[in-house]
Amino acid sequence: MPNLGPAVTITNHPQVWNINQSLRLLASLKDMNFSQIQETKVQIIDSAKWYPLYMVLSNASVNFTAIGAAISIYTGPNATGNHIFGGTPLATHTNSRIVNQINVNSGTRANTATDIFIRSDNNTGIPNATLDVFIYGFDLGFLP
Amino acid sequence: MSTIGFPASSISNHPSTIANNQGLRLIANLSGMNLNSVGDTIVNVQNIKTWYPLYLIGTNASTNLTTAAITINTGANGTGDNLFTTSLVGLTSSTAVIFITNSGNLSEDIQRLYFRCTTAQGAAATADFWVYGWDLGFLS
Repeated sequence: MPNLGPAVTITNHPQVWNINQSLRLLASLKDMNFSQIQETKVQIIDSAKWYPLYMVLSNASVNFTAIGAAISIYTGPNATGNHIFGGTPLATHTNSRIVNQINVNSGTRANTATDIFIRSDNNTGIPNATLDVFIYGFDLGFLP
Repeated sequence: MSTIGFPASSISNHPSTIANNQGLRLIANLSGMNLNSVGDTIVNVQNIKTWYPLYLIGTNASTNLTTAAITINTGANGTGDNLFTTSLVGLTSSTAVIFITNSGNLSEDIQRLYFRCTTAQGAAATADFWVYGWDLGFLS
């Protein structure tokens, strides 16, 4: 029988995955706008059942200290469905380099929604106030 | 009759195929860091534009580290942002592991880290270190 070689080969960059059973990105939104109360529908990345762990926020476009912005995330529109995160005040984002990692709000519930609704909870009146939003968690749906 | 099955693990039914690796992932690592001499070792960040360091993991100590300590900064000689500062006294053997969480709240876009031995062990000593975190740069 021929030598089949090593089962795993690691070159100089180990991050080459073809599968995604890890703590991984579930959804993201660049430049979420916090000028007014509104929501943005974002698709869950390829997961039939998932468990959110962290919301990571960064890349503030303005100083959020005093504008009164807050964020929340639900699985349904208009603050319905499962309340996953928030409403989290955003005053710590004084510049684009600040990172805020927030733990899941409802910690014992798996979700099957294919979309989430990222909400700006307040009217700030600042038209160019934006943040990047990343949702990380576990994919629980890949088992047959 | 015997059957030899290869490979040992085969996954074919996973629905997720994401080529760009947006997960908690390795940002930089250093194998066999010299812990018997105060100084920097420059380590390249792995293929990220903007990132946030979360964890430092250390293991595989060559000896019981009773004295050595390290920092990881974004600049040479302890300058720039300090990401991690830790004594290594928990690394008592090659199988011991330390797990340190970054308490800062800044994203980074530099492409080099400076792993610095700040207190020498006083005898030959090495250990391996990994920095894990989030890739925040793929949206831009």
